Amino acid sequence: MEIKKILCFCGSGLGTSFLMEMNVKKALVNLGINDVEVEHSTIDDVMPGAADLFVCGADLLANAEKAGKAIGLNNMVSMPEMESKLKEAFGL
Amino acid sequence: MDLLKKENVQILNRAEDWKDAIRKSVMPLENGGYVEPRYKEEIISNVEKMGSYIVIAPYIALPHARPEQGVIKSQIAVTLFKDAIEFENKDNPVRLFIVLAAADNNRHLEALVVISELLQDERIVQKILNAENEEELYEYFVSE
Repeated sequence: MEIKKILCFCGSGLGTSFLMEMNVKKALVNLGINDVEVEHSTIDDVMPGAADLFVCGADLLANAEKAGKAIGLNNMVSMPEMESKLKEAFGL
Repeated sequence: MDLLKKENVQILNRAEDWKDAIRKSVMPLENGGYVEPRYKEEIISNVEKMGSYIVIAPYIALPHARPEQGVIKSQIAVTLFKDAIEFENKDNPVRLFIVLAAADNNRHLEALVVISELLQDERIVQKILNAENEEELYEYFVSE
């Protein structure tokens, strides 16, 4: 399925998820991927249909996969990790 | 970065466990009147409920809770522990605690941008982790 909306989430929906949102946006630019909506929220908003791809910390990956396609990050500020995992998710 | 003051930067030897580390890391903000005493316990209870989402990178944690969980004024505190602290269900031990107190959902974004940029540079992260005194540690955060 085409990825048009990405939802980054963490426990509080305030700090960590925003950090991931910034880095997802940056990575998409670096990868030359356009027209994707990126948002951040709390784990409460993670449900099937809420997004085409969920991005979270590695420890929350199991929760995210129940809702759909997901990426779990070990290092949320690492651009190499973000870019390689996004590439895989987009099938590039 | 105007959200970080030198008096809120500290280097400590060790903590008993991750909860003790969070309490110690939040203390400068509590003493300065930026957060209510319950803020540290709210962070701990969030982590217990929702997992170690505050561990954002190897050796680095970003403890924070929501504005309504006891924030009075937006501010950041930085604590570096000489001994690493283990989190439950996490492979990464933590030495650097960057505590965020955000009074509203937008006020702290600017600081987060700066922190994120800073932490993306692995050489700076190494320097931060090797800082020998508070002065040096503070400079890495504000000189960007």
